[in-house]
Amino acid sequence: MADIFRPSRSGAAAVLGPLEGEIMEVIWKADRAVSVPDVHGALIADGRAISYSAVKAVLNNLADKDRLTKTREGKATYFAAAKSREAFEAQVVSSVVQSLKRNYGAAVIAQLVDELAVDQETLSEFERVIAQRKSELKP
Amino acid sequence: MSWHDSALHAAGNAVLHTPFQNLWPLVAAPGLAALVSDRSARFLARTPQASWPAAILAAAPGLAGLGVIWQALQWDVVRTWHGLVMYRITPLVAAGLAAYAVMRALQRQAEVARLFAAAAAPSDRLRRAADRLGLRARQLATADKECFVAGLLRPTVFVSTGALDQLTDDELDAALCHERAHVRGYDTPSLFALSLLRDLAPWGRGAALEAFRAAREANADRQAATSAGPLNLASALVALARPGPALAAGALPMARNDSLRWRMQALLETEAPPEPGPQRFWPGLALCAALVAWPAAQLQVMWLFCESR
Repeated sequence: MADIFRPSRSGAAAVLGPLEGEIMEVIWKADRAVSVPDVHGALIADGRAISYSAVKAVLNNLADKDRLTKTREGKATYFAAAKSREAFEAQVVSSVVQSLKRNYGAAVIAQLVDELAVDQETLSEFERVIAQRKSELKP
Repeated sequence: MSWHDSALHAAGNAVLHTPFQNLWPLVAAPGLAALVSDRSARFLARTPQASWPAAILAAAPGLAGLGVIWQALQWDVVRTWHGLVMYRITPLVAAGLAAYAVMRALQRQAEVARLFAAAAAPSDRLRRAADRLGLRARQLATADKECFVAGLLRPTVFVSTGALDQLTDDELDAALCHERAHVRGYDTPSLFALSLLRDLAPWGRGAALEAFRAAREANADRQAATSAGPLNLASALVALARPGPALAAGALPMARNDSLRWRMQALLETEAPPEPGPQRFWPGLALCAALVAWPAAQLQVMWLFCESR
């Protein structure tokens, strides 16, 4: 699923909804599987006036979008982040760069290397020549 | 009058005496300029000296289109009765083309704004290297190997964490020297302007724009080789061109062209540089310049004709 990117926001909220971003921040900070009351309590403690049912609905939405994994223990449901914050941000950055290069890259950016090499053998040959030249330069 | 003369006459009337009759300058001159530009661009060498001829060839179709669009949108022409009849379609098409080009330019800038928002502050290593060369730098938190310049008014170098991990200090300096040449040569504003002109006359293959990019890469390579040494730049190119673990495990995508090969050959001088042949792009360059003036002059004559009626 393509992410909707909002440049005016920062962090996870740039591709998530505002409440989704806040909830993901709570879960990443907890660094373990959390229940709906845990998340609701953390948001209330942060001064966010929000209902329990709204938190539960957003958590379920995030699980449907594969941002969270959902497990049941007895009657309680626990949610954990599917990806670490670093992995999530890396995915966001990668998708932005790939989108730019795919759609408009040639028109707006000057890339050092704008393509993959023709083949491994060619690259290895270049590496061999570079190493040879460097060794020749050494006194 | 024989039957075939009558048929030709009727066909001529059908083509010429319609509201579409003045649409042809919108296509003819820019289209012809694009054709000449594409054919002439083949004769451009991949050297820094080819930058200006390539830029003129790349700009010619768009400038011809701009001349037509500007004339077609003049209210004085449309206001007269004859002008309204003769130009009622042309201004609409011209306005559509101009709107398309502006929309594409805005989309491109929006994508660049997304990039700036997604990038983070540079690491100490990148900041030190960029400061030494007087560059603005941002870091991309991705394992992909990326190194490029973007930004119209404040060109900034973007380097990914994956690229930083692969490059030694000497290679990073060489890569940044290459990007500094792009910044100092105003390459991103030039690409933006030429792409805007290309959208105004989207005919042909855009070979001259590709030739311009190749010439600017050759220029940046030459400057970086002078500042940081050709071997450092060559090994930086190899390090970044080698696919990462994820890609190496799967199928290796084919290169779009051989630009890496000729750049490496220029840096390593593994082959004698090609002898400069007869510069066959000059006639094309002159013809493109004439085609830029032609549609505007043609429409000016039509405008005078409308005024006199």
